Amino acid sequence: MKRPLILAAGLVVLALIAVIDVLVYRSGWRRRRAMAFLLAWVCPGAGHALMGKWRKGLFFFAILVVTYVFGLWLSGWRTISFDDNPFYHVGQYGSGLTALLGAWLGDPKAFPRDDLPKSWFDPGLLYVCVAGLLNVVIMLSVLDIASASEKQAGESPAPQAQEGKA
Amino acid sequence: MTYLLFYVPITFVVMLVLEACKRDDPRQIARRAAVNLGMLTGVLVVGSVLVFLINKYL
Repeated sequence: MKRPLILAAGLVVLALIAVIDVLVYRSGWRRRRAMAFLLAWVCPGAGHALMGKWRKGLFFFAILVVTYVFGLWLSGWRTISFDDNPFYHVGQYGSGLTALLGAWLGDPKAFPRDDLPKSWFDPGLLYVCVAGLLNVVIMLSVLDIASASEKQAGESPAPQAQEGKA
Repeated sequence: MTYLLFYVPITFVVMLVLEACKRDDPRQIARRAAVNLGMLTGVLVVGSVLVFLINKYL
């Protein structure tokens, strides 16, 4: 139905977040942290790559892609529509990539594959959902790494206060 | 019952991601993920056996 509309809305939201991010976070570390968080949502592992943890980023990307593709294979290359399972459907929005594919492939309604046992359909939906939800955990990990890097660099969490003291 | 087989890989993936968020050493990540998977599976098996026994005999 409204695939172009959903995609356009997603892109507008992303652009808005990026603009707000640039306007609000003028400090280098804060902006980098916010960008890493946003990137981590758009593409699993990209946030870690931005923070300099390339190997970990690639690992997260690979493991989530394998999980997602395996789930898609089990569920007949259809992602979860709201009618299939509202909770699993929302889980897809944990990452931009799965949300985008969800918007693209999720309509029409998913149906079990003929060549696989019917009982494998539900685990397929679960794999698709878990790939999205795990990305939320990875996004929080990016924030953690960014805070640690900020502390290591010796930059104060409130640079404006420091400037005022000086 | 075959769908129960899918429990192992997805749980291992979840454990791997959770451990990878905490640690950097790949060997330690794999080891801790396997240990946690074993623990969780053990707890679930014991719990289900208990529920089965309670339903059957009580």
